[in-house]
Amino acid sequence: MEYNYDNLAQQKEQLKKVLKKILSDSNADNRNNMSGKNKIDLVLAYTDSELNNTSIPFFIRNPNEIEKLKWDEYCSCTLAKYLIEKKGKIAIVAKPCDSRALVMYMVENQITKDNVYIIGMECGGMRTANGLLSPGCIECKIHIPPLFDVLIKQNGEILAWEDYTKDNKLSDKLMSANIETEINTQNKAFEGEEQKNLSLERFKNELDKCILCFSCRQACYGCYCPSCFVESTMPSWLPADPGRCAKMMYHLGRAMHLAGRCIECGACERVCPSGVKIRYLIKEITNFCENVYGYKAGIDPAESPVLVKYDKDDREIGFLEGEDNEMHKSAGGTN
Amino acid sequence: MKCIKVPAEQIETAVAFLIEGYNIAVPSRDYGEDGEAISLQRKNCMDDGEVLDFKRITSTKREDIINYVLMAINCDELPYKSPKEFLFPQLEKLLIFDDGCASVCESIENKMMVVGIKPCDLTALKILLTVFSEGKHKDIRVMQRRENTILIGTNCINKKPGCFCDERGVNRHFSNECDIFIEKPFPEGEHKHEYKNKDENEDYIFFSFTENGDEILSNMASKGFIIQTEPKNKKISSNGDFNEKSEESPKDKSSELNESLQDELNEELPEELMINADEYTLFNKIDWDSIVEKCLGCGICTYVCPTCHCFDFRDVVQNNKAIRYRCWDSCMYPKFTLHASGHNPRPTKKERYRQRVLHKYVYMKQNFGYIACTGCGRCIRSCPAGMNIRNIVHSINDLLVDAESAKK
Repeated sequence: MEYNYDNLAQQKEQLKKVLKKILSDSNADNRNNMSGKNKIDLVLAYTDSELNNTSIPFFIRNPNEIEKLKWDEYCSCTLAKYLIEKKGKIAIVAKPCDSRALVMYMVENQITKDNVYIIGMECGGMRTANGLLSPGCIECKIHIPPLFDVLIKQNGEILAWEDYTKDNKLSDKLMSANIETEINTQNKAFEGEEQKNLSLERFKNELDKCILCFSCRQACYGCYCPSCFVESTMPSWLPADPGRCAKMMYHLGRAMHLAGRCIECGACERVCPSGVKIRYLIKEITNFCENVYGYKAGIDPAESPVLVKYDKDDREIGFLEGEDNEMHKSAGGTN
Repeated sequence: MKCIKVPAEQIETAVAFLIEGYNIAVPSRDYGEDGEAISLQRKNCMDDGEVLDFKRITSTKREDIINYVLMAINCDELPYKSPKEFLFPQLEKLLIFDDGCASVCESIENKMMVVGIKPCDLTALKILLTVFSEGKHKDIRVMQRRENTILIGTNCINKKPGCFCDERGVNRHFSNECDIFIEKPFPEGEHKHEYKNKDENEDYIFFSFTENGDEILSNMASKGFIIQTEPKNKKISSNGDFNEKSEESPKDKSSELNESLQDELNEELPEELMINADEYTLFNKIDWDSIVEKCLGCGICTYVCPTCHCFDFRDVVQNNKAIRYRCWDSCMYPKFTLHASGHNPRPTKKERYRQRVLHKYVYMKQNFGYIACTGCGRCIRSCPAGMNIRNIVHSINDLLVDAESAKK
């Protein structure tokens, strides 16, 4: 679906209205010493950068700062990660990817829903400074955030969560819309020995560009461990020599840690100084989790992460070999 | 110092003589094992739009190399990463311990030539070299690498978004902190005001500033190019400072030329960006928490910075053999100042970012007399959270002024 970027100005005006309202509610709450139910300590939004066509995170604490707010097709940076370190109740301007990140944080018990007020924004994909679609947005088909308190659609319509989800569960819709298309396109690429070699070749080419600066880890909303395995010195998991071995160790290690947790926001690729297509490395595992276990990260806050729940009927596919356990099952049955 | 004027139609020949006998590195978007493989390899990459970076040319085809060098000279973009890796590589083997004895690794590349470095990076390399050669401890390996590497600079025609070289007193049109500086003609229509004489419009001018550079230009002269020691209106003085204030601005062509250049290009020199305060004030009067709020601590600013030079040693034991490596470190990483006891004097990103700003703008000035920021804007462009060192230094200065006036 083509999105009309002209509507964003309208959406922005509505966003300003919403922000003004929640900040004044919060102030009123403070003044009247009320329950603190409407209290907001901080608003995470976007503002203009000095550079053309880029936006930067904007921390609003004061209602009169709202005029500096920015919302257009260049708001590609992700805001969710700041929630991990910030205390108090935070309102966040959330694109679908930010919202998915928040759902993951809730699923992983990093934040609670009570401490965050999500202003969902309908989003048709953001652009990088050179006008191209931002890395995560190219294949993204989720235009409505999976979780929000209030949704601002591109036509300026403002909807509360209850109204939007009155007749159907949003997460089901999102789930079905995405999986079918992805299954069709993906598995084909890795059929056959030749394709496998080609993808290994590609993988190596991508890795050779990496300089192991770990920016992708810092930008990734999913990498919030207080200390990363690559920083461990006893034992030192990562070889000191930043060759292909160390790069593989880091990228595969990170990919495994993100199994079933990646929400494909593309932040890793946006920050990479060498243009490594990092999502390509992680996508395979994400697709695996979707295809085999029907789990898509960051959609349903009530669902446990794929690696946490166990079902005796789970398929056991060794994804490197591609063999299904159906065969072993039937072999076991005859004995 | 020598100077050769090369008409545009002869530039290919001139480049051919220039690069003879050297391994070349240029800013390029291509990847590949050799010249022919570049296009093939690009098919294997996920898309084009690769990052412009300094890369060694592995092709052995002469035309390929000349093309790459010409592209590098005429390219008006700033590579994403800085050229510091040619003097101070990201990873370097220092020692090998084997059978109870240690041996020094002698693997310094000889006959290396890096083409297409912009004046901001040349100034930065000078600063980097100062750190490694004029401090308490001298780093022979870095000095030797500088000796073995020919740095070829070119002028920067347009200011890039995020650049603030003018505020840092770097003249983007000229620098003499290199072996050879190639001044390319302004493309037609780029500037209303031509600061050169009409007859020079189409010429590339090669300046040399070191013995190595002189030697190369003499070689070129022996192939038919004419050396002009003192071009008519391009008198070069060694003390013509760009702005009289400090040493860190590159030595310029004549101040006379500069004045006329500034007049004609209609560029006003902004006030120099610096911090004039002592450490105590900076530590206590500035609200660093609010400054670093947005920072993700990813450290990409230190990796792309042309003057960041912190490093770490690592001993790696493999099969009864040990190798001591030196690799880049970053003050933005939690492990940077972690003591063996477990104590970390810079436990949060606030202390780390403060260290980064003050190291560039205060400590380096105390220790070496240079401000270690040349305004290349790389950290600003690459930051995923929009941290802007220029704005931060401005806001620090504003806060200091406020604090000062509050006192009165």
